[in-house]
Amino acid sequence: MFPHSFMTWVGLSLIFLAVGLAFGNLVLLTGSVFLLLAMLIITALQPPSGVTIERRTPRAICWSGDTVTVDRRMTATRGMGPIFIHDALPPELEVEQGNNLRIVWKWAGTKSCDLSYQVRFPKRGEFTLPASTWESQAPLGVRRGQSTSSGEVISMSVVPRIRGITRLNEIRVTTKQTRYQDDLAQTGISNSEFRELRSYAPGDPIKLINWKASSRAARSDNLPLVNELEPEGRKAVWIFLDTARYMDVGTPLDNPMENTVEAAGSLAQFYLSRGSTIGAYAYNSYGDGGVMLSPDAGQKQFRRLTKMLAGLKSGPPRHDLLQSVEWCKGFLLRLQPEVFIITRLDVFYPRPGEGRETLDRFNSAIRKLTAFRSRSRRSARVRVVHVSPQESNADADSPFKDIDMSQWESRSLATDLRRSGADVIDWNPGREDFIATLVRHMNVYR
Amino acid sequence: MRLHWFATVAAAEIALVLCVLGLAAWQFAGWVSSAAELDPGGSNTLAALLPPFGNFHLMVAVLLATGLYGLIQFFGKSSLALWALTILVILPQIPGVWSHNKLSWEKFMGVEASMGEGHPFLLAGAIFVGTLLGLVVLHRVIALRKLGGLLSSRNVDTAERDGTLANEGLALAVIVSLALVLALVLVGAGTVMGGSTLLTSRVPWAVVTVGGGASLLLLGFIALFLRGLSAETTQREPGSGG
Repeated sequence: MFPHSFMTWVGLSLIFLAVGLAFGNLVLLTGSVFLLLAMLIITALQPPSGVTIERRTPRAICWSGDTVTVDRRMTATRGMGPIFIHDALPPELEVEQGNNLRIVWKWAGTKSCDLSYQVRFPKRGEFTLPASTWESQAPLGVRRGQSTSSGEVISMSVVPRIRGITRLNEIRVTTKQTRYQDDLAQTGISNSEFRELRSYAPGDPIKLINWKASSRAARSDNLPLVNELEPEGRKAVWIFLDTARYMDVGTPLDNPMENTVEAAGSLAQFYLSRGSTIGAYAYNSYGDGGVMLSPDAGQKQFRRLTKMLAGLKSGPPRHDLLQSVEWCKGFLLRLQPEVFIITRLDVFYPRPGEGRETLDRFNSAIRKLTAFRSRSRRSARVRVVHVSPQESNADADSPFKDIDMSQWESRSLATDLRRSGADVIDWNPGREDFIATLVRHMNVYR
Repeated sequence: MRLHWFATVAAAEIALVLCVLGLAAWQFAGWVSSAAELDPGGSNTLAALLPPFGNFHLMVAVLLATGLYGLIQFFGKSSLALWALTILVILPQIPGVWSHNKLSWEKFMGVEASMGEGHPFLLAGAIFVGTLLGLVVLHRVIALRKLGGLLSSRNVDTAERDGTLANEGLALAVIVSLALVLALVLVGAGTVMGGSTLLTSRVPWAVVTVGGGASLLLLGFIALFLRGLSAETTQREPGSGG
């Protein structure tokens, strides 16, 4: 209850009292009386209690890089002394204005005050601001008061800020005129116009099965027939995001993982603005391993995508692209979409003593995707976006500073992938933004 | 120009150390001079065993003790420094304070001894209580210095830190002043009782009054302590809300 030093003073006053009484020494007794009175007053003082903290934020969702005000109102009804109020924040967050640790001095009576502060969310993700903790002390720090938490737990969803796509839209004007037919999706939000009958493929809705036609047609694969309807939308796009741990290297705010999210967001914004259907699959994510975004079009889909992107966390590289393609096969066969794969190519480069199995599986996945696209009798290209890891400045004085091994490895692999039928977009986030890279790429392949 | 809080607190700390050491030296010097007067040139008193010294030597001793205190503080042993200083300022005062005993137990054993009178009662009492007051305040000043450092390291707003330290200082001043006034009132009452001609002179009424008052204060402290302890136990029990 009391610190040792306080009890030492009490002990000293007891010695003075005992000796003073034994020898009738008024000086010692006076000293004892003074010390006992001081200790008694200090003991009688109660530390602040009855503390309530109301806390709220103006919104529950924000863009990465946004600053949000956390309003705190503290009320203490009893006691006297300092109250320490602290909001433990996740390490990624930055306090912009004010302070998350505040000290309020309370004399007798009720004390209320506003303790707002502004916090910046520099990184996308789901963030939880735990309840405020407070601790009170009696004056002179002798009696430690209560220590508990108060206020609501605040959850904040921080969605990635997508860069403007104005420059891409300029490209769109020309491509739209020349490749409009190509922009039509194979499927999408279907209208009632019948196009053809085809075999059932995984992912097809049950309601599309044409039971009469299936019963009449005797087929070797025993699969039912489904009605293929004319799609309403235009091109379908599928984005594979590699979210393995090797993507999460570099600084917390600028690394291939964050760049992947940015690229996916920009692509989605561009294609959704053209009325395309977008689907996505993030593999190697933390937790279940994969996060799927079912294909859809419109602004609602963009919101769904940003929410998905906000919650992505890197995980162990347990799955690869080939497995992911298998899992998404149903959608891929039905939509026959333009495919973007966002990853780091240099991690697939076979190191000395390692086999080529990882690289071969990646190549197989590309060939498989290319094969899906071939069915649509359209340009059978799959686009692989290679996100270069940030260059290290640690060896700035090194004579080999211009030789970047990862770049060399990725270029070597890009040649292989192009042979497998993929376009490789080499993006170095340290040098230019994704839109600029994409514009350059589109100009080359137009 | 506003002084940095650390400089202010450190200056206050040094001033307090010098004050309490000076008071202890004053008490000691008073006793030595009175003991020397009791047996001039003799060797029967305790004071006679001490080497001859003057005010200059006492000043050097005070400065040396301050330096020692600073050295211990420098090594981060603030608690050790405080308690070493407490012993250092109380020990030299014992002979001077001892000379104000009303009960001489040694006379029951047939021993005739005198410690010398030292300073008069009021001055001796004021020096002794002043020393204790200085030590209590010094104890808190050390704690404030630590608190200020902790708050600075946690990037607490400067105004809030200074406000907290100022309020702590104010609370300390109020508590110490209140304790001092109440102690003076009690001792004053005891002295009045002791000087009363209406009561029997065979009982040291001043000692009885002040001692009785101190005992009552001790009982009050124990009661408050136990109440606080029980409240704290209730808080710690699972399920009890803050």
